[in-house]
Amino acid sequence: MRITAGLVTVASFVATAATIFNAFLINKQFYPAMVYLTKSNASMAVIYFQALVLVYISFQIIRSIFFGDLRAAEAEHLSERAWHAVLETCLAFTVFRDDFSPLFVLQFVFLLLIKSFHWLADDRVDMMERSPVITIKFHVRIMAIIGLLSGVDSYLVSHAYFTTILKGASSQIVFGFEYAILLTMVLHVTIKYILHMHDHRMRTLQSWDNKAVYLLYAELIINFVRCMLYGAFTIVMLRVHTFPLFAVRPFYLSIRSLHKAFFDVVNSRRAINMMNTQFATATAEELASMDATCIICREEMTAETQPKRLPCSHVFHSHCLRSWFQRQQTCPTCRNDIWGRQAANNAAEARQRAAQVVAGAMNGQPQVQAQPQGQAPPPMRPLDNMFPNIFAPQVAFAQRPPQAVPQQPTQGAASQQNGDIHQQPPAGGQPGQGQFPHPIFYAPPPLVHGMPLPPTHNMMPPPFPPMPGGFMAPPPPPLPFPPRPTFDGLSDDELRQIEGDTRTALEGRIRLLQNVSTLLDAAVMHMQIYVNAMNSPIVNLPPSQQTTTGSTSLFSNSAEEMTASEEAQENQPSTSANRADVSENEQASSTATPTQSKSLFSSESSKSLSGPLSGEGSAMNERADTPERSPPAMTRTPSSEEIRRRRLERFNHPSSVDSPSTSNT
Amino acid sequence: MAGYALKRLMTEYKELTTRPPEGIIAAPIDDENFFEWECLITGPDDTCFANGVFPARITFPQDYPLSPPKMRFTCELFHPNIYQDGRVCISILHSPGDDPTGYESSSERWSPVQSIEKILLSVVSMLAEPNDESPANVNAAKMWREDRAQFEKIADNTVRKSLALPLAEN
Repeated sequence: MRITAGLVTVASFVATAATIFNAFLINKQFYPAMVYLTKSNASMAVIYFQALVLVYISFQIIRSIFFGDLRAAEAEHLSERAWHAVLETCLAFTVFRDDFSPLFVLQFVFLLLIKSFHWLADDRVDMMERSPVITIKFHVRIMAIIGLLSGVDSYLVSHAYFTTILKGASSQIVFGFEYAILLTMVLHVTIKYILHMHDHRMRTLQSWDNKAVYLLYAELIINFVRCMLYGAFTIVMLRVHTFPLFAVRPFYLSIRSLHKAFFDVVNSRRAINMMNTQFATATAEELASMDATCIICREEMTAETQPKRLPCSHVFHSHCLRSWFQRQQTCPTCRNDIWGRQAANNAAEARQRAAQVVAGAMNGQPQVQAQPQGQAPPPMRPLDNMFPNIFAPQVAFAQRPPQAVPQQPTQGAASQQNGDIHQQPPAGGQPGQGQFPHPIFYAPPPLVHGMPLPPTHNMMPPPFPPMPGGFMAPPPPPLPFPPRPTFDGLSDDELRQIEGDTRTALEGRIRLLQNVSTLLDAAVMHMQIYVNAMNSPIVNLPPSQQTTTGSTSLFSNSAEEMTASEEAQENQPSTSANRADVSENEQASSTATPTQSKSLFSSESSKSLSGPLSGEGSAMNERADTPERSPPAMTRTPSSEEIRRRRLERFNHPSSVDSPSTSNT
Repeated sequence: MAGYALKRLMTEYKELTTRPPEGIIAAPIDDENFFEWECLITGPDDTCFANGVFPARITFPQDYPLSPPKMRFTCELFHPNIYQDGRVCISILHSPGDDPTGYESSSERWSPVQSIEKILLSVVSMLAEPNDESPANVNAAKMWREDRAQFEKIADNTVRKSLALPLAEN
């Protein structure tokens, strides 16, 4: 290819020299020789061809100055785009056949030449991303070509503008718009160059996440400007000449890339939004306990990069996930659709949150108190806080290791540990206890409508009649209970999918089970709300006391504790006195609690050895402890107070029925 | 974005050179461009392609690993899942969005979890077990199904050609 190009060049030079020599040989003088050359078609053809060769040579010279050798991909791009440009130029000639002159052709050829350098610069700057090393020579070249091209473009735009102003509409309009569009391209290349350069400098330190976003926005804006320019060009051309056929293809291309850029931006924004709001950030401990390699970029994840955990519990860099979600909204590893599960989670979460608000308003207890530090089973976390009364013992038991060192012995932790004491006698009798690491497994099975579910809860096993009896004795009020999962909502296809033994079928089953478990959680929560409502007369005691007595009446089987709870209920009328008592105790308890939690723990461990006989001691212990404990910060708004009072009135009657039945067991 | 692509390609290159899978060599063509790789794949043992060494070229997109690379054998290879021009047609190289054959479940498609090594290993297993359900080369698929002996003869000649051995007598 090179050789033929060289040969053609040499041949062209020889032919031109021969033609000129021939003309001088015939005419002897300069002027007649010139006339001869311009009159003779054959000589003119040779000279035109020579001009073309000269343009080619100058292109090669400039290219080797600014770009050096072209890469294969660049050469390919160049020839591809050049063919389209030549074709469009030929179409443009048909539109401007009136203006057709050697000067006009020359201008078009020059335009082509300039355009080709724009393409090369564009490709070269894109190449920056792929190349591991970038030399200073490269930077100098790129800066020089960008400066040169922008200078030439802006000069020619202004030239075309003033020519049109002075001499009226002509083909200069076309050149004006063409160079204006090339100017946008230079601008785009410059932006990309600056971003890549910044990225390269940052790359040694850390990865620069926002580059992709900036690039997207730059592309969007540049494409928008380009589309506007083409639109304006078409309108002007329609008014001055005819429809600009040669501009259709680039116009269409720029509209298409504008469309693409727009949707890229939308998707990217959505992905970023999703990353920031919907997925939990993996903590340093979680990362330490797993293989902390991001499978997308094959690099280590650290807590500083804020890796994100998907609902399917796969963890990735947030920036890797973001760029993947721009393309697809699935987990890269297991290909679970994040939307489907996300929607289910959201619904459950919303339900939980609503219930939390109700529960909070009813017993006026801040829900976030029983949260030990440093343990995070993220998706189920809210449940621990949901049921401070019922779950406090179980949570305390399940999380005993972190609490053995009492970090931040809050009121909630103290009340938990107290609950633990009461729970201890049954715990000693139950050998398989503590196997389940997660508090959620201790959740009482939702005994809704007396539904006989298999006892997964080993705190309340079947050979333990008093407790479930005590729990279930009050006839359940008509609950606005979420419907049991049926298969009615599923289409035949989905059912068939679930029946099969393929992977998708298994996934379907798992999904169904997850829905069931969500519903069960909701049921437990409802039960909790009603239990709270029934116990609410006791609420008039300081909440911490209420917590312990509540859990006592629910879970204990010893007669002593029963009396304790009855005593507590007797206290019910003297609310105001109790409150005053509480405020007095607040200061004292703030200092007393840390030591207290330790002593509680030691007493508990000794008791677990001494077995069920220690029930009485624990009850005494509890009674001794209660005055020292301060309530959590009681922030009850007047409206919630109002609601609470109304609820109390409503539930006063059932609870008075309830208490004898409890003591009967 | 492509900064990540470059980083990841370098990581994979390091992994491939330190712990190369058996019968596979792969590396970028030159230092300046990590997005063009050349690889050599040996035909799996106990198949008609055994002992052959087949060169191929892998082209990575700017947004690798979010989009799959393209792979193309630079030698002649008569195989149901390789186009006449050498392009490899396996599901791991197709992004889940597009489905050229309509046979592939999205779980077999490209995802950033895949890697060069996995691609090359699946190409090796493709050489061992052609998938004639969605053929790229219909003639090869037909011959593979109906005239296995002839297919193996052609494969044997391909192997000989790749090793610069004299062709077998037909």
